[in-house]
Amino acid sequence: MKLSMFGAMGLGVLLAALFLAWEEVDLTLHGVGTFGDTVWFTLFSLLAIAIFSILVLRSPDNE
Amino acid sequence: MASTPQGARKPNLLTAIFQWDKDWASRVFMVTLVFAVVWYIVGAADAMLVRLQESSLGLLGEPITTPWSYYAGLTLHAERDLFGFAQQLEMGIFVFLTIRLLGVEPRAKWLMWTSIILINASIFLFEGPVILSHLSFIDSYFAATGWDSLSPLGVPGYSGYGVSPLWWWGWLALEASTFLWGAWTFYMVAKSHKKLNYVMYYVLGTVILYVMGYAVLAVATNWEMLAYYIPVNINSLYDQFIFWFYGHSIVYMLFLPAVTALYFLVPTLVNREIYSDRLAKVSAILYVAFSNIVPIHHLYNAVFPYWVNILQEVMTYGVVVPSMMTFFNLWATAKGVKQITWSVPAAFTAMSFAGAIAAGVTGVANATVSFDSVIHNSMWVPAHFHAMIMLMIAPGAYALLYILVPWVTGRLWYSVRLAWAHFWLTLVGSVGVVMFFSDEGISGILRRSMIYPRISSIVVDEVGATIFAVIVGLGALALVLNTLQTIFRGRTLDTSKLGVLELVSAAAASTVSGPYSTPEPPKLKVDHRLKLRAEYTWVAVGVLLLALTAVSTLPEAVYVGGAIINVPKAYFDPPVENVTLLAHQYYWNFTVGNTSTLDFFVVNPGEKVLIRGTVAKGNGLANFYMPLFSDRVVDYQLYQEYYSYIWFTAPTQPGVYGFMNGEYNGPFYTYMGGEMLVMPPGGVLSSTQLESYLRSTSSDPYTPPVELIQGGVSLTMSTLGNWNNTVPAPTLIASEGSEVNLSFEVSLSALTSYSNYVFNLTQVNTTKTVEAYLTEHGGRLPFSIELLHINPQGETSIVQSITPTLGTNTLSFRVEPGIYVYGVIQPIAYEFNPYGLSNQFNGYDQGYITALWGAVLVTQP
Repeated sequence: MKLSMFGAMGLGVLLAALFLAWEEVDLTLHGVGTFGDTVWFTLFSLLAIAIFSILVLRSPDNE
Repeated sequence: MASTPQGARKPNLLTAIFQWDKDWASRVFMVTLVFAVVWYIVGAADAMLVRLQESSLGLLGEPITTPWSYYAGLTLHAERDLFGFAQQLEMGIFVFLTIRLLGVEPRAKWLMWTSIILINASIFLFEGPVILSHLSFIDSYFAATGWDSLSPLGVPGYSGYGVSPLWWWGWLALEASTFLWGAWTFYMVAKSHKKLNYVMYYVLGTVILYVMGYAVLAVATNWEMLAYYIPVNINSLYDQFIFWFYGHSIVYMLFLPAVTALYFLVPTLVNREIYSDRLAKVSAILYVAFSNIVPIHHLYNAVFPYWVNILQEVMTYGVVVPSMMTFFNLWATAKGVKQITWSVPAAFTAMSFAGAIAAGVTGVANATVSFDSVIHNSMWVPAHFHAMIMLMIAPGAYALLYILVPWVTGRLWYSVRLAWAHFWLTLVGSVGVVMFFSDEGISGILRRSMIYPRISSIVVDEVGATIFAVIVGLGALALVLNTLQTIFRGRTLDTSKLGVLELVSAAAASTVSGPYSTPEPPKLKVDHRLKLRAEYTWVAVGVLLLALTAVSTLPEAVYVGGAIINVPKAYFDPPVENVTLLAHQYYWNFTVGNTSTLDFFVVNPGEKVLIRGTVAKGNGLANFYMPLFSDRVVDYQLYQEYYSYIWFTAPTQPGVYGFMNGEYNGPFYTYMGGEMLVMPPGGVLSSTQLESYLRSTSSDPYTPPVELIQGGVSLTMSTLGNWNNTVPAPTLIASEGSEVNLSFEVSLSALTSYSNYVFNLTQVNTTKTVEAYLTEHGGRLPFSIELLHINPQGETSIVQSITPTLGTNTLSFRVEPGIYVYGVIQPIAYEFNPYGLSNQFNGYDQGYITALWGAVLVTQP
């Protein structure tokens, strides 16, 4: 399947979300002391990326 | 469209490179491009020096260059690549776009030429004096100033590290260059009668941001310059506060041009109108309105009250809103376009978009007070801004360059392979650099760390970052080679008859080996109400999520920062161990009760500790950084003439806990380690406590490695002037009542290294200098090796002291309950003065260094 510009940009969004999740996991693995400081930010950011993606996918085509 | 030149007279080399036979805007673009590439290459060489130094120290334990060359490389990499390359290139591109998009005849050309001369002059001035009589000292410590954010670093009287005044003249030249460019742009816009499209909104918005940011910067740099020339008092906190008005907006000065590129390229490449013209224009205005007013989010761990920090966090979230609008708008613009031929500019455009999301989200993380409290001043911060630069800004600029070079030169890209090699090497290399930097930061490693803990995972990060940086460099080399071949050998393109879409398509097509097709224009018109609903929903949901983030992180945020109001009330109720801290260049002085100690302080397990810390005049600044990952990352900025209140509960587990100076205060900054000694009850660790200690500190990077003394232990002075390549030295474990020998090995080769501060080695023949000293002093070295005992009550006494010689020097003692501190405990006076050249004009560095000491914990037999 050939990747469209929209698809490539979407892949980028997915990779960005994975990067953020990896950072949180990496931080937490280093020590429980830092968990509470970072986890809420990460959760809400991942939620924001998910809603962002859903809304763009549901919005009308740019015709 | 494209044709091969036939019989045309070949232009000479300079005319071809600078495109001097083209119109004025093209000439400006090419001149800035050529100088920008030159600075990029020199700045990349600086970065490579830094990477190789860190890799060599990790793999071999040996430096390849001196601390001052390392820090000069770090600083000059930033200045050359940020200003000489990025800002200069932006100027060139924006001049070109301004003339083309406004359709005006260029006027006041002298303003732009003066601006270009000044920006290049500023990069030379930042380097400091070039001492022709001693060329080996070019790029030496004279330029290792870091940034203006580190005020009052470099100012005589305030800092033991002094910078050449050319540093501030460099800033003045850069500021003047920016103002002239801004004046020229406003003048051109004023002379145009065209309605501005959304791309010009971004061009103009970015230029306004530049002028505003540099106006504030001029206040900070002139304040320091006045303090250099005449005795004007500097308040380092206020000066840093002023600097960060600029310091934050510079992020957007670099980010917005890439956003401009995306706004220009995404619609053009997919042959669609922008999804929402209105959203684009509103976000341009919001970027300008919000990005200049958030300096304190760089200073959360300074001495501002918590409510100021939280207010700045919320204001910073304001900058997120236009980004939310922008990336929704850009992504939605490409929606519904099925067919696209993948060209190099299209690939870089997609990369820039993805990088903006990844780096943008980490930017919001950095602005969130509670998140920042964990990663502030760590390598995570360079990971974030390198993500923004390497994954978003540079790809956006490259995407535009792949269009503009054919547009300006009238030559199509010469090599498709080199173009794609550039893309893939940039993508892979940049992701690798960012991931390894990020992992280092998450592991607690400080930014600007020349000496860092040689833990295997950190060494892997350092070496990995170097390998991927080389990959990025190879990608850039492919671009330079392809550009040169294009200028001289590329097929010609008559740009005069082509519209923007045709030009973009022709340029893009020349990076594709097969056929290239432009997407079909849209056939249907969609109900705008549906579009509007999606826009409004996203902005409303985004703002709601930002509000939820602010509220949910509030419980942690109220305790961040060194203002007394930010300290939890429990830390004022006894029992509390009150400690006073005075940070010198380059050592710490603690006072607990009547006991004063250097570099370490003693506390009891589980007790509340409140440190009242400040910085001695003569030390630029400092930061108390103790990353205890099992409990809390303790990270506080210290200022001259202010007290920061540092609170934490001592670990219940007795042992040694390392901390570092987290802020660059001169070339020996990473030698400034310290230790919190948590005294075991009765002064003796049980075997269970020892095991528990080793487990609890396994992820704390600055807690020194542990070595068991079985009869004796050998400690070897490294070429950096520390024992066994660690700062502080290894923590030794000795059994109560045993007889132990500590052997200190000192070699001539270690003493004669330029990175070793023990002798002021600034002569060419270092071995002769040291040998002459030793002959004169009966073979005795200029320091003492001591053993200090701290009894279980926290009282200290020197129990042994020897004056060492070359070879093996031994301290023998019977182990009593308590904790011992061994090694060179008194600071060694240091002054760097190569060839007697150090002075206020050239720069200088002087201080007291302590990096040859460690602790001994006592365990049950």
